[in-house]
Amino acid sequence: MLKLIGACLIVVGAAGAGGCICMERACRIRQLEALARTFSLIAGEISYSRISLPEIFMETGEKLKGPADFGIGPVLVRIGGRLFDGSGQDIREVWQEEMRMLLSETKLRVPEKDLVLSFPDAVWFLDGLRQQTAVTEFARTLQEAARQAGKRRREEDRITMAFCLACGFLAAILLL
Amino acid sequence: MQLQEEIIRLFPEHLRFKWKYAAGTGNELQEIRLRAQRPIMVYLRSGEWYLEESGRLTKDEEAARCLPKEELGQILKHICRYSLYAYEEEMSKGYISADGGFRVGIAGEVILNPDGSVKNVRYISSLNIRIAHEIKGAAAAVMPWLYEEGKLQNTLIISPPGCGKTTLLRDAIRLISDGNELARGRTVGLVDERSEIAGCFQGIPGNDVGRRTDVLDGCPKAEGMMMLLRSMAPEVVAVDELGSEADVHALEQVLKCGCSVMATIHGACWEEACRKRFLKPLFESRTFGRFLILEKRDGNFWVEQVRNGTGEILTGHLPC
Repeated sequence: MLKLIGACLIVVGAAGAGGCICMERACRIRQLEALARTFSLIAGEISYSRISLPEIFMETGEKLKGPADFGIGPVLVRIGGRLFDGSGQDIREVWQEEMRMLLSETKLRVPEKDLVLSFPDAVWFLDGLRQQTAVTEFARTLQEAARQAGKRRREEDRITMAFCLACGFLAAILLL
Repeated sequence: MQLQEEIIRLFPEHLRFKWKYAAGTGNELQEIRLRAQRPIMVYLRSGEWYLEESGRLTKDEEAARCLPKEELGQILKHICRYSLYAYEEEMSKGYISADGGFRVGIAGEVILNPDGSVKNVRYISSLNIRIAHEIKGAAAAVMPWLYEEGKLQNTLIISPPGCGKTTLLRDAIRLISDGNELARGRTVGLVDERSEIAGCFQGIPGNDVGRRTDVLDGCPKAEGMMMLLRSMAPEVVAVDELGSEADVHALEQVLKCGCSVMATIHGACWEEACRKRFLKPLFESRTFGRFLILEKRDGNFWVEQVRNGTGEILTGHLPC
């Protein structure tokens, strides 16, 4: 009887592990979409208001305080504030410091994190349209990553669940 | 905030230690000239100085520190808050408005539009940081001359660059707006195209321009004057550096509405201002009741002449 209960627990545990992996995948897609939305809003502000980036960070940050934004709003407000406070810190230093903390809590992959961290390298254009295009490119790349991940997700989830359950059943059979 | 601190804030954090001494000269400091791969020059009231590697000022050209091109780029990006695109329009006119009401002149390679007009400036190789000075009381000595029978006269301040016309205009606006012993406070509409007079930051004036002053920041003068007329009902309209027929036309509209005008113009002397073709209609119609001609002597600024509408000298040698 105990062996049977143990076997059931192993199968349930394996299914749970598979579910967790699937949820992480879904979370990564949501985070990619949130970041793409953020860059898209920044590009929109550059195009519309032509105000400086610190001001844009603060204004955009105020709009991104929902649960789907995984805390990016307050981070942007902080970055804008630090660039405005007159301490004279470099945008690269401030952006990377604040974003590294945020990104460490996300499920993003290393190239995606590197892309987000490289944003300060793209802020040197004299022309508003070109600057907007450069920022839109970040949004587009992240959106494309989210789209690709979304497309693969169902198939990957199925494989993950099947694999985890198979492992669970195998372990249960071995136990029995 | 103190002037010294405002000057220091023009530079990125890692370069600030080099500028502490120069910034410490405060009100003495007039201009900082930065040229790529050339000695850094600092203009005080007492004359031209070079910046040493240690940050000290020297007259010895050999000891001067040359500015690396990268450092110039870092300073430019910092002044523009890493948003060069946001200054596109100002750059096309050859300057950037920095925090604290400082104006930064730029020079480099000009990009032209197909119609031949200036689109922007790239490969920026020179910056001229002009230090704005808010000197309360600078206009106190001239105020009695701006009124006639209690009525504020339309006034044109004529001055060569760097002789304090913006400083004088700012303080005159403050005294007119707050009221003084000659007249009650009046509503002033200020068109601050280059953000030099009020030194606005996010719409809030950094300099004291009076409690009854409405500021249109970063707005072209001609459009700004019309906007103020339509919406803010000013009693006095103030503008810096009249420079085109459009400005003069807008000024005429302002005068037709019964407002008084305070304006400035570049000019070495009264005669030179009279020769400016676009100003001719204003001179012919005797629009201005007062002309203040400024001059810099021995490192100090003076209202060299105060003239009335007919050009007659009323007084002179007033400190400002």
